[in-house]
Amino acid sequence: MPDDQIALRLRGLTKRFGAMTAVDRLDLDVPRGSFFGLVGPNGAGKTTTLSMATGLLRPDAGSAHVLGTDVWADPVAAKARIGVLPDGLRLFDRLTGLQLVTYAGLLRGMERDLVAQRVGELLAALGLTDAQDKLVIDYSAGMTKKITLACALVHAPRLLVLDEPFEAVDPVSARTIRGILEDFAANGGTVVLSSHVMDLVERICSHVAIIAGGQVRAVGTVDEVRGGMTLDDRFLDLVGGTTDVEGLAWLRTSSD
Amino acid sequence: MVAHLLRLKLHLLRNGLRRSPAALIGMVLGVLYGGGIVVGVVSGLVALRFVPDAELARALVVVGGSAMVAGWALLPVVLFGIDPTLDPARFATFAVRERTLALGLALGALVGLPGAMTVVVVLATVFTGTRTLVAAVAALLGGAFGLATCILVSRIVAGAAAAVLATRRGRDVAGIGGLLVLLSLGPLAGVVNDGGITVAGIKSLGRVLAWTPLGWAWAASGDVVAGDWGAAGIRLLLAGALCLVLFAVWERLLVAVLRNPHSTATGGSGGARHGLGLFARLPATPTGAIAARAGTYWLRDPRFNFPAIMTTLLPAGLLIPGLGGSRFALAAMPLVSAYLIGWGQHNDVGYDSTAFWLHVSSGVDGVADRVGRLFPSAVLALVCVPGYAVLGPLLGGSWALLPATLGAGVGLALSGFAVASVTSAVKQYAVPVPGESPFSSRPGSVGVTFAVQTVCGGAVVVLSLPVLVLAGLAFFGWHWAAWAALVVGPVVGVVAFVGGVRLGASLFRRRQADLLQDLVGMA
Repeated sequence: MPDDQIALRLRGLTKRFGAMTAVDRLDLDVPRGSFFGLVGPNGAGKTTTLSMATGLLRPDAGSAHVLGTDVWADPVAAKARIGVLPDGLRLFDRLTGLQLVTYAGLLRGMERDLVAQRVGELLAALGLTDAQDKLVIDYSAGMTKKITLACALVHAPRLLVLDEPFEAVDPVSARTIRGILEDFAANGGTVVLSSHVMDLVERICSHVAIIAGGQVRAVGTVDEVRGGMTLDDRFLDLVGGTTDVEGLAWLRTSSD
Repeated sequence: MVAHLLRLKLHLLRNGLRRSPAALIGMVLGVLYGGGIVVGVVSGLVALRFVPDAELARALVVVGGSAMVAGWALLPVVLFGIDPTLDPARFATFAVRERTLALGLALGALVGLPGAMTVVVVLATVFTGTRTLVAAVAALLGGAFGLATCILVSRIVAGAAAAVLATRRGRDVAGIGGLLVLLSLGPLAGVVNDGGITVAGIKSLGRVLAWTPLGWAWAASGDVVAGDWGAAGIRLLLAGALCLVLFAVWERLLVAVLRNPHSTATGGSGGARHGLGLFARLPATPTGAIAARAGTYWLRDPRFNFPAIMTTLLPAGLLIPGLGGSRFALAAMPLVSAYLIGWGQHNDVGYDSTAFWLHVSSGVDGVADRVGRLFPSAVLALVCVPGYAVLGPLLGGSWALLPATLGAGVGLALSGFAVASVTSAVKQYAVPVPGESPFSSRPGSVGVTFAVQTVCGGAVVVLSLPVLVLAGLAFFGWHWAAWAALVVGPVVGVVAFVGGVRLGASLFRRRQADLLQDLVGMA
């Protein structure tokens, strides 16, 4: 693939935490305009990989390029093109929703009027206008994901990196988020998201990578990767692990 | 089950020490410091056994014992933070009988440094009571009651404080309560300052305290020595009854927490909030936005507004010796205020916790981050430092010193900001995470906290040394030095500030991802 068709290019990305290697010389190319799903079991290194790709975690080795810009050599230029939705990190949740998204916009150095206009549109699109004067700490899980997404979108990034955007989100909010992401990808943006839910990835993503043990096990379009099976079966096939439940007879209360 | 809970507390203590060398250093320091106090108190109590004046001995034991009970009640809340390791809410999901849990958790308070120290001191009071056999028995009973009172009171206060602080209105009340405690220290310190400690004074204080719940348990043995059997019996009965009542209260509180463990979530909308608040009033730049965010947090988050109130009021404590005629105390007020405000910024990024990712992912400029954070402190300093500087002469200090105190105050505050700009890009220590009580402490972080605070404090003083020397000269009568301080303080301060922000900004550019990982590790 030619360079200018790559939105995110990871080469030899490595991260060790003590004796444990979380991400092990990982290579990955995410094509521009794709809706890219990253799947893998717990502890596979998805969050670590995405953190290193977005400048939140310094890699021990390897490089990450966003639309040709090295994230770790020129972080300011690279970060200007990325929108991030991390998983498991706090927000400045003593601000109201309106204040938080405005804050995210102003931090990017945007004009006040432009910020105000975009924040209004984002909150309306995400169905948060009624809750804009509530503190973010009082938001539900779904609303929190949506307001974080608004923070990630306010500066009009070219690449969206979302860690578990659908976790703990109700179906209505999930549909809203999905609609916005599909619109974003259809208009030339690139979306990278990680998820546990195979069905969802299968339905909404154009490309998918299966990660296990800190390495990419399979990558390509969804059809290429699944090769005639369901993504779920293909995933278990690659990652391994038994699904048969043995023992625990005492849990089956009907045997009393 | 009770033994189980005690073992759990021991395990927690040991694992906390094993986790980091810093915790171990903190513990060693604690043992040395606490051990020194205990040795002093115990030898005093042993000596009291042989003092001919039995009534003085009794009064001292009563006053000391009462102070110990009061200390157990207040110190965890005011100074050290509430140890969350045996937080009752954590046991909500286990099927343990509530009474057993209440007993186990209360006894668990004895495991640890303060508990061990208290037990040793109580044993020493028993020795003080060995003038007669019956007195010794009364001292033993009283000591047991007193010890039980200590730990039950501390449990109840900690539990109640956590519940009260969880509501917004409660925090306001607590703020006022803290202010009252601070103000009530005034007359107390005044008495000490007047050299008002006399044998007669202690005896009468002892007599009064002996009839309060604080003193019942500690007075019985002395009553026996004095031959007042009736009073001894009544006091022991009262002390025992107090323990039963306290236990019942503690149990009720525990049951309430266990049956409704998360009633502490912030409820209600907390007043009208509308629009952008500070974000609309400060410049629409990254620096302005960070300033607005910091300012909003100072107003909304008890982890900020509580220390802010304390920082504002603490220098007023110097009014006590100041009104008593100490010119030095009056002159020192603005300096202490400036130092506290400047130095207090050194762990600001730590308070962001992992929400800091938003700054990292936005590629915020280092200077904007450093300067923006200082906004609320700078406003506070602009009000407090000149305020205290003028207050001193108004209350009898010397107007000739005003240029010196102003100059030194500006120098100290700017040096503090300079040091904070560097340290908050280098090393942050664990603080209560957002939503936690501002009084809770993070187990196992005492060593790092202590080290960072000491280094920061030292650096601030070193940077402002020139102006402090000039201010000192002015105080001792060299009038030219006052005006020199007014020039040197701001000049040196601005130089330090610009250098500190520059260095901090370049560290921030290089280290922001590592800083975020530090914060993730603490959360």
